[in-house]
Amino acid sequence: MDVNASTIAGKDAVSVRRVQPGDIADVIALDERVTGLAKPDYWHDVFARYGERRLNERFFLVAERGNAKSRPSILGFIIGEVRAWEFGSTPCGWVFALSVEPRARLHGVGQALFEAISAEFAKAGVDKMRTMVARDNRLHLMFFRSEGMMAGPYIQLEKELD
Amino acid sequence: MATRTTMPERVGDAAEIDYGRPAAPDFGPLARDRIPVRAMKEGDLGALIAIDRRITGRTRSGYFEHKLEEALHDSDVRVSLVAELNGAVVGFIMARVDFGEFGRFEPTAVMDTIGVDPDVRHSGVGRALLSQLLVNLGTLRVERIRTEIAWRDGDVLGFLDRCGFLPAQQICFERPVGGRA
Repeated sequence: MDVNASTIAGKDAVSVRRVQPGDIADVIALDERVTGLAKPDYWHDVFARYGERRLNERFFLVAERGNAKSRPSILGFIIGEVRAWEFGSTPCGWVFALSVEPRARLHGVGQALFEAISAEFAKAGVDKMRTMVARDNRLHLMFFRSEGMMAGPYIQLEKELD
Repeated sequence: MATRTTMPERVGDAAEIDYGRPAAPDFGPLARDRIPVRAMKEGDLGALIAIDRRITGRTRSGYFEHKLEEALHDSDVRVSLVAELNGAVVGFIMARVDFGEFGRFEPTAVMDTIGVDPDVRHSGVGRALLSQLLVNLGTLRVERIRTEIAWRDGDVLGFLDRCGFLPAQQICFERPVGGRA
């Protein structure tokens, strides 16, 4: 079931696998620790859409410490899907959620998740992956840049509904 | 008996709701009146593929079969519409409602597909479609719509600019899968 397992020098192995129903409580708790907001309904909806349906193009992956003796807790998660947009664009993989347990950062968890979803996108037949990051989100900006992502040729536009 | 007066707390605050004020500017009512827009149906697939082929020069049957399947059967959070002129489909628009991604958690609609038959461009078809989409999304209590577009796509950028879209405070990043650029 492992999507990927990577060993960081001097650290425990980090296993990455698809999310399971029993992980959602951990995902909700991790997200609440990171964002300060508990969103159980939102995460159950995300699990139903990205953890159970159309799994050949939707990827909801979680990372856990590989050699934990007790029940491993979730160290992080990443969610993405293959999207084909209009306006002539070819399908590509979009990463739209990534979170890592604050106490486990700088230990390769985010990198393991990123590499695992990149491999899944490759298996799905796309050759590019993209994401959108808020201009003031320095943590995510630094992470994605450190993973070799560069400014892409897309602009996000928005409009408030009156 | 003392008269109770409601005082605004700040300059610009209204003491009470002014139900008589003019409606907010809407670019769509005229276009909507002239061009019928209706919900997408299974039988529209051929028209969607044909219009898209005329726009992009490619046949993307799989893409539209997938989109239509999703619109009609897979989700209760998609809004998919077509516009008709003289009984023929001349344009389409598709959006889905997201309850959070890219670090946002408010209900947002994502418009991912729009197309207008090149023969009827500049006839208000795109405006009619987008306007009706916004009306439908309003009933779903969606507060914002967004889209991602290639920066070189000047025609669509100009259209969306005229319809009131603005750049979001998000940066697009990309990388080849399986390796660095």
